Amino acid sequence: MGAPQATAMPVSLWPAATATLIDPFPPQLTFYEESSSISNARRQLWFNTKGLLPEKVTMATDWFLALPSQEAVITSSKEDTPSVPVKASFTFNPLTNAEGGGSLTFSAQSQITPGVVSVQAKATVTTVSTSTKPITMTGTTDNGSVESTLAPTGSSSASSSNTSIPTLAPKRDGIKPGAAAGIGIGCLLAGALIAGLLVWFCMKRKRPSSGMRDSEASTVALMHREKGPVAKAVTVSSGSPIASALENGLPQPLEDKLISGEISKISNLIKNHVQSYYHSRAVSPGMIDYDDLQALGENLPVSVGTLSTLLNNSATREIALRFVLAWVLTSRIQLIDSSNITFLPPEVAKCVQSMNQAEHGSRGKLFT
Amino acid sequence: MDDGARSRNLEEMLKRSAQFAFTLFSQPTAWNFDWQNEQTIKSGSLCIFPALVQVADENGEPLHTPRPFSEAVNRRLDE
Repeated sequence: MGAPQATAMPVSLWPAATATLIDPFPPQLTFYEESSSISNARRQLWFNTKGLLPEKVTMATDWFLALPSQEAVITSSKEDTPSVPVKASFTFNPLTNAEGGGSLTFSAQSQITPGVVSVQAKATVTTVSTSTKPITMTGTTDNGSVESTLAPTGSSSASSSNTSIPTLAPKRDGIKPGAAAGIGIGCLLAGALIAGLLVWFCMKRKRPSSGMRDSEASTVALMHREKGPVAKAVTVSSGSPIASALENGLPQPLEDKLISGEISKISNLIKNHVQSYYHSRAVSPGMIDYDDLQALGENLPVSVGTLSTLLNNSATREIALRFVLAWVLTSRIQLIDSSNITFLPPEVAKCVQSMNQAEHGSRGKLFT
Repeated sequence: MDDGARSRNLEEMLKRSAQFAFTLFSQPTAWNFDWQNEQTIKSGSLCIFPALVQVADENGEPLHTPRPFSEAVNRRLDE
């Protein structure tokens, strides 16, 4: 009896199992099934006798269904029996049908026509992993006839039966995707928790020691001129006075943007003040006093004469006034020259002056 | 024009500048105001607000190029 052949091409095939055969047959016969979602009861296995990659077996007639209690025919010819094609028949018997993707076992027994060998093969089909890529078949459908075999002419009967244990080829991977996702999320949460604890501990260690320093520093740094700086009494005997002064009394450096912001604000204040409260109409010439302008200071970027002209002129009055105010303010933010005119508290001014004199002896600038 | 308002406004400005003076002094770095003297009256513009530049770092080391903290404000004189 012949095996039922394919009358239509199987569309997509998963490798399901392989059976190992011995000489003279192809060493491995691969069985494929069409869909992994078919219940075991209706599992269908395909195989082809060409021994080629399934993609290359494009004739429907080359595909055989492995059905229970059916025979399939695989032919082979060997040099030993050059003119004797041999026939092997496989009988497929489903032995177990487990529910829910268990295993389907089939055994194939081949009976070789007299003269060669008989081969027994047994393969267990297990549930194919859905991650295995199916092999998509394309090809022609054709209704061919059954492959015919010739009966052997000779009758040398050296028959031995071999049983070979076939290899399995179920393609299954280990970890389910759901479990992997759960493990990943768990690790992420654990890592975040540990990181959070570390940050919290670092904060706790920093805050108590520098908390007091922060509030003191900001008070000291932004204190009004009249109050003057707070003098910290540091005992000279205890360790390094500089070190303890650094710890206890010095103000924290401010962020860059705070300083930039503050100076920009002052610039804007000047602009708004001049634009709001000063006019650009003509003024009597006597209003602008050279002496007053001289008193602004020495080393002005513009000469007193030029400045007085600019002030007089309606077009440049605003510019000149803004300049004057900017000069007054910025020069007093530091120290102007050797005079004591400054915004800085007297003690600070004295300190800065003596430092500058030690270095330069001339212009009073902060540390330069 | 209300001279009192002007006065008060001026006073506020001075107070704010005084506070800033102390803030600057309390910083570990050294500062200077750059009036951009290269652009003198002759070039037709006047600097009406200097740039605040940092001239030394926290260790007292002078900086090769002063680091600007604000931009100078210039105005042309011939509009």
